Amino acid sequence: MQAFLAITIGCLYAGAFYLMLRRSIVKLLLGLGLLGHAANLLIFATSGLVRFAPIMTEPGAATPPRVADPVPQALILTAIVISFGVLAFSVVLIKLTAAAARTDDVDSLRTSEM
Amino acid sequence: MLAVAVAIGFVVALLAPWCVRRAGAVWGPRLLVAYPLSVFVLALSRGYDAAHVEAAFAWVPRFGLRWSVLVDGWSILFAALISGIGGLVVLYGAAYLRHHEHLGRFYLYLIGFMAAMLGVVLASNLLLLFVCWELTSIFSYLLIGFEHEDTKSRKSALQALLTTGVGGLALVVACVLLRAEFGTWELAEMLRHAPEWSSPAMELATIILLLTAAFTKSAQFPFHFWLPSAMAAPTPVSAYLHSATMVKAGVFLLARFYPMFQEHWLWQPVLLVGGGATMFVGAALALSQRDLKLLLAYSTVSALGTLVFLLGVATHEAVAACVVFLVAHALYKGGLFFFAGIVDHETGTRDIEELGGLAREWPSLAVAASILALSMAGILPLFGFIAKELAYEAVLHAGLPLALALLVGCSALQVAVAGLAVARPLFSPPGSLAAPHHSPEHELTLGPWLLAAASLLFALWPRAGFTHLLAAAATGIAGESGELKLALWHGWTPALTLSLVTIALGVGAFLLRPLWTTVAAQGTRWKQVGPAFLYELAVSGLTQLAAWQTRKLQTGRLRQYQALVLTTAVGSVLLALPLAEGALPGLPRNGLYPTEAAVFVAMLAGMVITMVTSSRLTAIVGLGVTGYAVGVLFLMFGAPDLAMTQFAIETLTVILFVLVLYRLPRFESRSTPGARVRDAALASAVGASIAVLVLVLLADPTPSALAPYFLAHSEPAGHGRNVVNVILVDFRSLDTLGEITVLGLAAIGVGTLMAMRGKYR
Repeated sequence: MQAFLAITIGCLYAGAFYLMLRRSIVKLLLGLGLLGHAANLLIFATSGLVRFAPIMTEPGAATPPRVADPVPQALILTAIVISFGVLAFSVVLIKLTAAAARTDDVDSLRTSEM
Repeated sequence: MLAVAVAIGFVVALLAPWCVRRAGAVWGPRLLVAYPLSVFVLALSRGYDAAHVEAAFAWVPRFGLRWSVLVDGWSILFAALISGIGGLVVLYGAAYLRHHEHLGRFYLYLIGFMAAMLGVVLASNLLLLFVCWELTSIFSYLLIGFEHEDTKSRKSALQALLTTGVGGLALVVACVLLRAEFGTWELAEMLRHAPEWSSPAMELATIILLLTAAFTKSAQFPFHFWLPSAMAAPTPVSAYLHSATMVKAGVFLLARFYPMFQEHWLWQPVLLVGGGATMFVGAALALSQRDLKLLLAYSTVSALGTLVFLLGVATHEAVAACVVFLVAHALYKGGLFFFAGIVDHETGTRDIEELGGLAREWPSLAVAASILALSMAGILPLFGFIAKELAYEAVLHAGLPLALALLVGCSALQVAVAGLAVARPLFSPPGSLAAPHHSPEHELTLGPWLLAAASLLFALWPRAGFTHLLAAAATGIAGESGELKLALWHGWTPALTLSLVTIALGVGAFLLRPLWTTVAAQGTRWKQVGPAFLYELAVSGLTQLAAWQTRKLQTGRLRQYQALVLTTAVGSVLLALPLAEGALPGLPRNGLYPTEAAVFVAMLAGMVITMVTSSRLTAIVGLGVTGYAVGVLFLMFGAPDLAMTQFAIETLTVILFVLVLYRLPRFESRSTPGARVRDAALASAVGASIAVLVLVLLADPTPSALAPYFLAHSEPAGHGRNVVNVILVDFRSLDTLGEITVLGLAAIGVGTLMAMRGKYR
């Protein structure tokens, strides 16, 4: 299981970066989306991977139950939302950039002035 | 007390501009003299016979940085020179720069420098010494560039800063090595042990670094070029920093580490050869100068060489001679710079070919200047004579005939230089120049007079207290006490014969100077390969290198930046990989359920679809599949909150993409097959690195230290059983607030961009 998860995360990263290295600006955007998933999984991998055990404490129990690490999960929860914010902003920004520069070729977008 | 006095100096420096503004250009400096004067008295009132560390206070205790002061003859002698001559410079500067609009700023720099220099010579804590050492470089930079409207001024200032800055870097590394060896930052403790080094390589490295620091600071060959350039500074500054005090900091440092390293095989030869070369180069170059200040600057270089050279002779006698010569030089050279400043200030020129007949105009100043010049030439009955005799004796007794010949030759050149600097302007027939209308102010002539009087009195009546201080300084350097007798007349000794030879040679050189200048004029093409030229080359080379690498790295191509970052990341992982050796067997294995395998396959399938399709809609669907699969995985591993958020956000993302889909450009095939292969290889390498990292991470059995805390406190402290929830809204609620802010900002950004959209439709 662990090995498969690691390989999957590696593949997702590879795919994301391949897309980001394309000249089409839309593919850059798709790569960014994919990168978000890959990064979230990477953080998730550190939480201990305990099957079917939501992190709930038993009422009145003295010792914590055997569950996954809650900290990475809290981080991912934040990360999911933030990456959506970044992606939404990027989509609009890239759409406008492509329209303004009249090209979607990343290599032609080299000037900061329009 | 002395530690406090150093600290107070920086406060006085900061108050100086205010003081000058409030009390005026005349009384402001007179008030400021109180600081050097009180330090002078305080320093000489210390008991300095036995080296001891004075009460210190902590500055940055975490780094072992303390204001601790090492009091012995050597540091007290230096402190007295710095504050004594400093006081004269403060008064002299007031008259010299009276009408300068930035007089307050001048005193800020000058007093600041004084405090820093006191810190260098008094510090027992090496870090404090280093901080003050760098401060002297910085204040020197500010003072050389004081007339900052002048290009040459700025250039010289930068040259001095860069050259001494290299030395500063060397010094800090040397300090760290010393700390590593001795386990303390305190110089006093290091010197007390003076032991065997644990590794010869480390000792050698420390010596080379210390020599670099001292040679750059004290303008030793081949770093001597910055000192003559530093003459762009106002003359009071040249008198103070670039002859009497700062340039001697390197000599000070070498002397401080004398007991530790004098027996090392590298130490003595480098000091002898380096000092000797500097002594000769300085004197020879001085003789061909026409500018009074440059003449004195090159002769200062020569004198600094002599000091280093005497330390290199490494006998107790030579060390004592070094101390006496240092004091003699500070007295006469400080005074002669004051004289050069007066000449420049009153006549408007420093060219010795134009100057002449000044003795008739300024008879009393002429007497003072002549005394100073005679002291420089080492002529009876002045202090310079005693210093030179002691140096001759020391080298004679050390049995170094070649070194002795060199010393005699250079002293003879100094005689000629003294004649040029003083006899020419004073006594040669007046040149084309109009005679100055008024005699210089008393505040200007006070300095040369006092220093000339000191040069005379110290020689005629070497008081017991003064001799004692010099002997204590030699003891402070060498660590063992020896005898020091200061007397004008020793009887007819070989040293006296050598003195007579020196004077005869010097007069000869003075008369033959026209010949020498012609030869020197022929030799100007040697400048093409001189150290100053190499400096220029290095500076311009560095600028070009910076421009080149900026051009190469900052191309403005996004994809190239990405490739660079990714390559670096892969490289770092490869470098760190050996550290993870043996981690992988610890990987926990808890099998793979078919459902989990299906989720992984779905994730990768979605990704592949996104990558290969030529339809934009299909690509978005592929991305969505991956996203939902990630959500399902969250659900399977006990993270229902994550899964819910992931599903909601993924849905939103797909909707967003579809909404703008038909406004996005279509996919086109642009890259060449070669570029695709290259990008695929790079991306795969990154993916492989990440996979390895995850494996190493999962194999690490160290449990999280935070998890038990949150699990235990979630319900009692946060009143919630869903721990992830409690973390987000309670324990780390400020983070969540930040997250909401980011989302809000993104929304504002999107809104603004949408509003601009009409412009580019």
